[in-house]
Amino acid sequence: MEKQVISSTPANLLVVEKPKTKRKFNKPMMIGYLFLLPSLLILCVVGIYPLIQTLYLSFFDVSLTKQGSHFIGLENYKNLFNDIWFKVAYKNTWIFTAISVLMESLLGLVIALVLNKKFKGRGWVRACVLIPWAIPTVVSARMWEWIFNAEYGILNFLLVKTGIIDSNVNWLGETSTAMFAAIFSDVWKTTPFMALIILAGLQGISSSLYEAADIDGANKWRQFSYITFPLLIPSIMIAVLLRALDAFRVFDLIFVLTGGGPANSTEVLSSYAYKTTFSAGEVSSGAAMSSLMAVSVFVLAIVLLFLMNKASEKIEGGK
Amino acid sequence: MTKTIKRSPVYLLALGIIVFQLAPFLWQVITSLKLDKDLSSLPPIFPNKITWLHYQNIFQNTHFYKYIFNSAVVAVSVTLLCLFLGSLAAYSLARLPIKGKSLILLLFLSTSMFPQIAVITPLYNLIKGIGLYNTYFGLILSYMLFGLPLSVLLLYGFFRNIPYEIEEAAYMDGCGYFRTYWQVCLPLMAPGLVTAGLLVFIASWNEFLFAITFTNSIEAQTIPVGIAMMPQMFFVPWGDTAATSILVTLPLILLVLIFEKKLTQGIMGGAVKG
Amino acid sequence: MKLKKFYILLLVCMMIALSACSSDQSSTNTDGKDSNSNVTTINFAAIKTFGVDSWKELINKFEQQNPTIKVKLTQMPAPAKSTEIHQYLVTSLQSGQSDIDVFTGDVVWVPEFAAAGWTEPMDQYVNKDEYYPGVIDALTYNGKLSAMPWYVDGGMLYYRKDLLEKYNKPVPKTWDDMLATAKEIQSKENNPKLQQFVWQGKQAEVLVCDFVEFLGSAGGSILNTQGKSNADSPEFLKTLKFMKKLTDDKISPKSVLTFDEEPSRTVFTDGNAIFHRNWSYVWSVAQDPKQSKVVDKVGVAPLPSFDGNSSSSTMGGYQFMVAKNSKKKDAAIKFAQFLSSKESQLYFASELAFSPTRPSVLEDKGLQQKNPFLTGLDKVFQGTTARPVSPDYPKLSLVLQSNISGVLSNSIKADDAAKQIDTELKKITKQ
Repeated sequence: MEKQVISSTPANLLVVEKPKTKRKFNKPMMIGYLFLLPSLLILCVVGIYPLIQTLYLSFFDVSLTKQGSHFIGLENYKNLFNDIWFKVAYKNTWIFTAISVLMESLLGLVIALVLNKKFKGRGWVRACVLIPWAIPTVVSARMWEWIFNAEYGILNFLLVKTGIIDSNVNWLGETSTAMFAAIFSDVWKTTPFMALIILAGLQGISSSLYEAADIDGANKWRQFSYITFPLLIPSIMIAVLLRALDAFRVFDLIFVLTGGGPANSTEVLSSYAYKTTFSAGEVSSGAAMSSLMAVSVFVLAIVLLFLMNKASEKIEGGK
Repeated sequence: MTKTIKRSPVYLLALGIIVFQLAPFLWQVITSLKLDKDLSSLPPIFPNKITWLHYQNIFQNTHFYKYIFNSAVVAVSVTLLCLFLGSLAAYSLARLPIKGKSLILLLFLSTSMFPQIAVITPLYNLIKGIGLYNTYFGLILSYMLFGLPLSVLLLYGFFRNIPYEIEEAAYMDGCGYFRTYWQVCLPLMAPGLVTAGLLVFIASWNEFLFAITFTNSIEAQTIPVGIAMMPQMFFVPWGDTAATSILVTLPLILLVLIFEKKLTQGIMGGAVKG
Repeated sequence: MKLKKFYILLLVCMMIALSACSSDQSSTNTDGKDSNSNVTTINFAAIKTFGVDSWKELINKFEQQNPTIKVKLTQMPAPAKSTEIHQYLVTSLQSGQSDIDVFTGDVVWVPEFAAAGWTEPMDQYVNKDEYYPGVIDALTYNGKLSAMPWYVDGGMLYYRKDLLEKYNKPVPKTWDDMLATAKEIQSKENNPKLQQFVWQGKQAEVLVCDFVEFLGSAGGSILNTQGKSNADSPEFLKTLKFMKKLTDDKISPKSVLTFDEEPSRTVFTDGNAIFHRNWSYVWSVAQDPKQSKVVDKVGVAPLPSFDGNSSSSTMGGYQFMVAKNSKKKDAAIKFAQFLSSKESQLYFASELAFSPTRPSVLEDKGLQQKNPFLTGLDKVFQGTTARPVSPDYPKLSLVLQSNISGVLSNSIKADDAAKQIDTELKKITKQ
C-alpha cells in the first residue's frame, strides 16, 4: 500500500482518502470489507430492512379500522401536504432542532473547555456534568413538568422572588412559551453529550502546539481562535451532526412533558407520527410521515456536512 | 495564591456548570427524601421531615434488583459489541483502502434517520419471528440500531486524529492489519472508546420504547420499564419514582468516575516519544 | 492475525449467547398443550392495578377451580400509562404473531379493536341482563358484544367538606352554584394558594373526558344518536366557552392546561383546591396520611350540571377481551367469564374499590359496610356517559384534543374551534 501522508491535524473530516492501489481487489481492501461486514450485516437486519418495510407500507392505505390494503402510490404524501397539523409538527421540529442544537453546541463548548483545564475536583465536576444525560428521560421530563408548573413550580418561585418577573408564567400552558420550555429541558439533558464529544476532541490537541504559541507570545484568545477552534471542528462537526439527527427525532421528552400541547404548539414529527400510527391507527399515513422525516433528516445531514466542509476549508486555508 | 486568583474564572465557571447541571437533580434528591404529601409545597424547599421510606420501598420491592440486573446485562453487552464492531468498522473506514467509503459512511448515518416508531413494528415482527421476544438478545440486537452508528461515526472521527506515523512504525515492524488495530490503535483510542462507550451505555440504560414493546415479563424487562410500572392505577408514587431515578443514576456516575482518567488522557499519551 | 480476530469474535458471540440463554426460555411457549399431560396455558396481558402482585390471588383461585388450565400473566403498566398500553396491544395484535389469549383494554378501545378484527364476540358467553345496559352498549360494535365487562369508573366532584361546612354551603348541584360557592370561600379564606376548581386540561385523552362531562351536563353530545357530528349544536359552543371562562376568570389556575390526573390531584390533596374533578382513585389517596394533607376533610358527589340538565360522568374503566386469533379459545373464554363473574367483581370491589359493572354486586351487604364510598356513589357509576362508541374514536379524540386545547390556550376562538371540529368530525364519520 502506498504511503499516505496524513497530517496530524485533520481539519477536513470529509476528505476520504482515495485508495492508491493498482489492482482492483487486494488484500487490504478485502480485510477492510471483512472488518465492516459484521456491523453492516447487523444494521441491514435491524435498520435497513425495517426501514424498507416502512417505506413500502407508506404507498398503501393500511389502517387499523380497515380490512385489507390497496396500493395508493403517493396519495398519503399528497394528503400530508394538506394536513395542517402535519405542517405545524414539521415547523416545530425544525425550530426545536435548530435552537436546541445551537444552544447545546455553545454550552457544550464552554463546558468542555472548562473541563479541559486542570483543577481540583475536576473528576467530580465531570461526573456531575454527565448526570442530566444519565437520568431516564421519562423521569427528567416529569421533573421539568413540576419545575415549570405555573403556580407551584420552583422556577416561577425563584424568578418572582428575585424580581425578574412580576407574576407566574404559565410555561407549559401557553403556546408562546411551551416550546421554549421543551427546548430548555432538552438542552439541559443533552448538553453533556456535546460536551463529552468536544472534550475528547480537545484531548487530541497536542500541548506542544500551545507551548509553541506561548513562546511566540500569543494570548489565550488568539490561541483559542487559531489553534483550539480549528482543530476542534471535526469533533464539533460530529457532535452537531449526531445531535441534530437526534433532536429532529425527539420523542420521549415531548410526549411526557407536554404531549404535543398546548394546542399542538410542541407537537413534533415523531409524536405526531406516533399518534397517527398508534392512536389513530393510520399505519400507512404514519409510515409516510416517518419516510418524509427520514428524507428531511437526510437533507439536513448533507447540508450540515457541506457547510462544515466549507467552513473547515476556509479555516484551513486561512492558516 | 496568585495561581488560584488566576484560576478563579475557571472555578466560577465550573461552579456555574455544576449548578446548572445539578440543580434539577438535587431537586429530585430532595423529593426522594420528602413525604409524598410535601411534594409540591413551596416554600419550604427543604423537607421538614426527612424520610427514607421511598428508598425502603424500592429495596423491598424484589423486582427492582432484577430490573437493574437486566439493564446491566443488556447495556454492557451492547456497549462491548458496539465498541468492538464499531471500532473495527471505523478503523477500516479510516485506514484501509475501501471503495465506496462515502457511501458506507452515509449508510451508517442513514440508519439514524428514521424515528424509532418507524422501525418498531417491523422490528417487533422480526424479533418475534426469530424467537427473540422477551430475551436479552432481542433487546441487544435492537439496540445495535442506535449503538452501532453512534460508535462508528464517533470512532471514525477519533481514528483520524491518530497520526499515521505510529501505524507506519507498526507496519514496518511487520504487524498485520488486525494486530495493528488491536495492539496499536485501540490503546491510543482509549479516550474515544470511553466516550463512545459511555454514550452507548447510557443510551441503552435509559431506552424505553423498544424495552416496553419487546419484553413482557420481569425476565428481560429493564429499568425504564420498571419505572413505567410504578404507577398504581392513576396514582404515581412521586417519592418512590424520584428515589428510583437517583438510584439508577448512581451506577452511571460511578462509571464516569472510574473511567474519568481514560476520558481525558491525551491521545498522544507518550506514544510517539520514541 | 485473521485467526486471532476470529477467536475474539467467537468469544464475544459466546458471551452474548450465554446471556441470551440465561433469560426466559418459556416465554415463547405458544403450543396449545404443555408437555405436561393435558394442561393448557393461556397468556393473560393485564394492566397493573394496585400492589406488586395484584393478580396472584384471582389467578390462583381460577387455577384451583380449573386444574387443566394455567394462566401466565404478562404484566402491562397501570392505566396512567394508557398510551403505552394501547401501543403495546396494537403492535402485538397487529403482527398476527401475538400469543396473547386474554387481555385488558380501555373501554374506548373496544370498538376500535373489534373493527380491526382482534376480539372474539362474547354475546353467547354472558347474560347481558346481569350488567348495566350502558356498559353493554359501550362494548357493542356492529351488533356484537366485543368484550367482557370488568369495572367502570367515572369522573366525580371532590370537595373540601370542611370548607363547605365552615361557610355553611351545601354541596353544589349546578355549575353556577359551585362557582359562587368557590368564589366566596376563596375570597374569605386568606390563602393565596387556594384555587377554586382544578380539573384536567392537558392536551391528552383526559381533556376529552372532562369535556364530555361539561358537555353532557349541558345536554349536548359529541355525536348524535345517528352517529353524526353534533358539534354544531349550541350546547357544544356553550361548553367550549364555559371551559375557557374557567381559566380566563381565574376560577381555575393557568396550569390546569398542563394537568392530567396526577398533577391536578396533587394540588387538591395538598389542600390547595376547593373543588376537584377526577376519577374514583382520588378518594383513597385523599384518605392516606402519607399522601394527603386533607385527610377526613374530603367529600365526594356527582359533578354539577347546567341548570335544567342532569349531571354527566364520563365512563372509564378497563374491560376483558378474548383475542380472536387465540389458539386456546375455550380456556380463554372460561377465564374471561371467571374474571367477569359476580364473585370476581365482588373481590375487585371490596379489595381494590373498583366499581362493578354488575348492579347485583353493589347490593352485597358486606360490601356496603366495607366500602360505603363505592356503594354510595352507585348512581354516578350507573349513569356514566360513554364517549362515542366508534372504531374511529381515537381519531375523533385527537381532533377534539387539538381544538379544545386551542380554545383553552387562546389560539383559536371558541366559534372557530366548534366549526373546525364539526368539519373534521363530519369527515371522519362519513368514512
